[in-house]
Amino acid sequence: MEKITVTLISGRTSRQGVGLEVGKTSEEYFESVSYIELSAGDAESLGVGDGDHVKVETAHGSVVVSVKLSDKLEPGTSFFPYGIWANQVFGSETGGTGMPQFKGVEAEVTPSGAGVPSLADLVATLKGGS
Amino acid sequence: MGDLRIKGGYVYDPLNGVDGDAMDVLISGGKVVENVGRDAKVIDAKGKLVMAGGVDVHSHIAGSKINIGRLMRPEDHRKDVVPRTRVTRAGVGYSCPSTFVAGYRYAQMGYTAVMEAAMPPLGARHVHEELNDTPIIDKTAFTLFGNNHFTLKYVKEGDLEKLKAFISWLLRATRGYAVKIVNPGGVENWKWGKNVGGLDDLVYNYEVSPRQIVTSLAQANEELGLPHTIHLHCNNLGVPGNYETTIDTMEAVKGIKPADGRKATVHVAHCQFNSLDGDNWMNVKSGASKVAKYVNANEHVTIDLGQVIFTDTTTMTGDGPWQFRLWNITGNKWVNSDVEMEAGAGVVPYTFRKDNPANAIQWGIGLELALLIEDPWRVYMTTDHPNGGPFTYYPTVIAWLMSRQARTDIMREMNKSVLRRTTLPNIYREYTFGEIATVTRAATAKALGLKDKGHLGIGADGDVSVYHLDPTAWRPSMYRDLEKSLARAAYTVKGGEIVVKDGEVTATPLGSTFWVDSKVPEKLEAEMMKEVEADFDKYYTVGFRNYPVEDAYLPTGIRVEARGRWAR
Amino acid sequence: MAVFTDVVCPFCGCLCDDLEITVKGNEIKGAKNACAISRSKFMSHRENRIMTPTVKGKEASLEEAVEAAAKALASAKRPLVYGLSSTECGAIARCVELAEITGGVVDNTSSVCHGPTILALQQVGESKASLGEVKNRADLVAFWGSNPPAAHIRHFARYSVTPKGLYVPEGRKGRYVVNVDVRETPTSRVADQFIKVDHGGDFELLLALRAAVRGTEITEDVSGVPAEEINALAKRMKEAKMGIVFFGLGLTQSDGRHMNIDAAVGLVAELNHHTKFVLTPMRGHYNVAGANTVTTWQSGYPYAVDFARGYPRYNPGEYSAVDMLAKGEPDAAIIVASDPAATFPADAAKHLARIPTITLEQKVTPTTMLSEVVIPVATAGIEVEGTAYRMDGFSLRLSKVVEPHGGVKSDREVLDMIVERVKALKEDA
Repeated sequence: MEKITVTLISGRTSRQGVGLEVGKTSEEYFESVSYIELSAGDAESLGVGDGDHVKVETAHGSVVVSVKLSDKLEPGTSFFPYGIWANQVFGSETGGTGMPQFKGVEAEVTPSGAGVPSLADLVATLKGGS
Repeated sequence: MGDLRIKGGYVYDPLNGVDGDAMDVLISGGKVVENVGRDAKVIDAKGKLVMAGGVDVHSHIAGSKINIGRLMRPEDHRKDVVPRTRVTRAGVGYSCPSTFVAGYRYAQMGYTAVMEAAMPPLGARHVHEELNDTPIIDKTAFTLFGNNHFTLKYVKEGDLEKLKAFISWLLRATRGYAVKIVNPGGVENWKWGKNVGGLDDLVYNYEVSPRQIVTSLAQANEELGLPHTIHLHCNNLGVPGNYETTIDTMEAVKGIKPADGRKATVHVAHCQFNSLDGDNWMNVKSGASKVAKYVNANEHVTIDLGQVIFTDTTTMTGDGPWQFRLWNITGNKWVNSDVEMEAGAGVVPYTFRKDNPANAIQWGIGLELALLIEDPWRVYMTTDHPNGGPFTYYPTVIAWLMSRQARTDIMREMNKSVLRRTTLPNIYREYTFGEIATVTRAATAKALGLKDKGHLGIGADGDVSVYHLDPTAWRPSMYRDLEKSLARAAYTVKGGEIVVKDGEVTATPLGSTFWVDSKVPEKLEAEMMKEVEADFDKYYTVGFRNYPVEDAYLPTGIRVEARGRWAR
Repeated sequence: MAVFTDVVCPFCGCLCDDLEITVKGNEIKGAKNACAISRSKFMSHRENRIMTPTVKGKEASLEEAVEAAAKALASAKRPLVYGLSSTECGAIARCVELAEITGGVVDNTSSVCHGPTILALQQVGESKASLGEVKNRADLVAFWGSNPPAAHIRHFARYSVTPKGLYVPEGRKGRYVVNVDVRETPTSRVADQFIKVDHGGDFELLLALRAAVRGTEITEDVSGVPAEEINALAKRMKEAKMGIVFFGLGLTQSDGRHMNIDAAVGLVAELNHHTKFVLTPMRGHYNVAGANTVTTWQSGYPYAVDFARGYPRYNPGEYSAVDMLAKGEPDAAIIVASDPAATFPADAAKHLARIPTITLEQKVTPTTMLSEVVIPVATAGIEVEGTAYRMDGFSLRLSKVVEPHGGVKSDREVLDMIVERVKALKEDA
């Protein structure tokens, strides 16, 4: 299959916490947040495995990240660690509450041959603006 | 700061027997003095009312409770916004004012000292942080003891000596000023969703009664010679028929020998809420005359009013089960907050309405207490801010005390229950200016043991309020003028500095925070500490060494030494 | 070698206060009792530090950077002050003052974590307790949309699951642990019962549970949870001696947001007619509760506070940082102890690159990378003392165990300098 649809949830992980305290420019941090977790079933239908790259796309944006297999997730749900990579695909609409929807967002996932953008790449995109 | 001469006002200074004499008040070095230099700044107080700065014996202005009130009530703030000025910070007012605004507004009414009436020990650091952001006024905070694990433990063991040692340590650790008791035993039981129903109910697991808690703490308090008596929020607050519990509680501490220099052994806070007669909210009536009769006959008791104001306010007490009850009565939003090993609290918005029969009776009760208790040195004016209403209504309460016409005018608009189920319509007493100075300043300072406050004798703190009001020309029919004058002091002087002029804040010094340093024999303290530390390590979630409030939180702290009987 | 005991950890809302930090010279050598994240914070605090202030990418003196910051803020029509949650309360207080004197908006990270919890509290209230109440009494502990092992690593051990308490002397065995989540997590494995709820189905499930607690028998599955499971859990909750719901961003950041919390508060309130029940939000940043607490006592409001009219106004959704940035409203921003460029949706974050953004930070972050002025500051709780408020609202004193790296100043000191300069510039104008 070339594409699957998942419900994305973002959140913290202890690795992300450890990484950010080393520094956001560190390799540890990059490794801890530039991936999504997929269930074995979903990964299989996409034909991807651990470490392969996928493009995650929502109504708000897209980003390429690597894949990490999870034996806990059920098919259809994908976990995205909290960080600048995840924030490429979440929208700024808050429904009048101040809080964007960081959990329960529908996304399309496709295999990708592109590289995972670096922190600097993503900051450059922000600077490039609009 | 230069010298100050407050010239020619009508001075009411009941502690020094001054009753409206036209005279000067002289201040130098922040204190009232006999002489000032020729270049002293002169405040022309001719034809004006002059008193010592007001001393509020019971208010909720700092700490987790009032901050929960602020947090949960944006709708309260929106009706009373306070812009920034060149001198003052922005903020909000009404029933849960921001810290800055609380300081300004007390000063604008001529108040210069306010007691925060309920400090949970674990929240002491928070209380002091807020007090440090409350400008102008001097402050103290009363530490909660009535449901503390160690209080209950030592009461159960009958170990009064260790209880005294514990009180001394906890007051010091929290930088507290007095022993506060809220619904003794009831708050501990509330942690299981229960309460106590009276003085002889038992506290779960500890098997002690509210009677034992109150009498033990009162006995310890007096033996330690603490500056203030125990400060008590009785059991059964807000329950029709509770006047009996209140009188029983007063009677329970009657035999206790007071500390040197006073006759009182208990202060019953916001007594209005504890002077209800009847069986339920349908047939509730005033029990004030019975309570007043008891107080008149027993000089070991002082009270404050907790006067009701007809407005939308925010109730907040350390009495979790009462706030739960009030939530069930009102259906309004409810916050409960239990504090491990020691205390609890609840917050519920409430509107007192003139057309609500129970509220009308409650309004009447507060004034009955004030007017039926003969000795103004034992009954103090409060609204239990913000429980009965915001402190900014003090001028209105004073108008009711001084003018029967003011009372009659508002009673016409009220539910008729106030006519039939209180004795207020038949009370003709009107307070004098001297009596007002007593119940808002002199007597409160005296009851608190704040010796340099509440009066204008030589050596007193240079805290003075001057009002645009000629007491010689005033008549009770002019009560609206009185309210206006008291709401906006002509001058408020704090420590010799003019902080308010014509009702506007002109300077915002940070006042002092007074705390009590009470000593017990070292060996006793060490034994007590060993036991406390052992239980602490097991049951608290903060470390024993991280518990006491650090000195950094008292940049303007003033230590008040207490001398117990054994000190001699 | 010096050993500091009873040190408070400045990472998460647990505010564990039993750390032992070993220091040699001015270097931290060990962090006993610390969790993995805390250890990383203490041991790595000198790595990747910003060493000098910069203005438009060029090195500058502190005074020059402060001057540039003050000018940008003093001349702005709608400045935004944001962050606050990972610093001490003194710095937070100055952030509020800075917003006040510039007529700007001050918001903190709670707008993107437990802001909805506060909105619910303002609607219906909240029955809560300090963490020791849980340790000492709770025999039913529920984690709903929260996963402590990911971000509150010692929570289970210190407060909620395993500790022996006054009335739970047997510790773990004395508690029934429930986990409700849309996915299995380490928390589910610790729990006695895992309830998997459908995405976006929390609100309905909470209402169904409340109905069951009130005595209505649930006869249909709700949000993917079988009816009998709901009825049984309601019964178990009513029969607990004391229960608690710890809830996390699984409720605040998913569909429904504050309405989910409203429903959770309602369930817990209902349970108080039967037994003792409380709930507590799992606050993330170690002093986000302090950011709310200080902002509230100073202004009356916990976050999203606007001083444009000289007095504070409050409106999450309008004065909250994500909304302001998404609309392109601020014409200058100062970010203190936070990294919105990484933590906000890109669509909102990119506005920070278009305006003069001033950032006070220890390490290089996406936000410092796009800021016009960057001022390095000391780490509160390691290099600076101060106050922090735990997730349950109780405060502790943060320690200073080493001198600030490179002699940098604290957030509070730098903010004092900026506040003074802004005041002076406003006077001149």
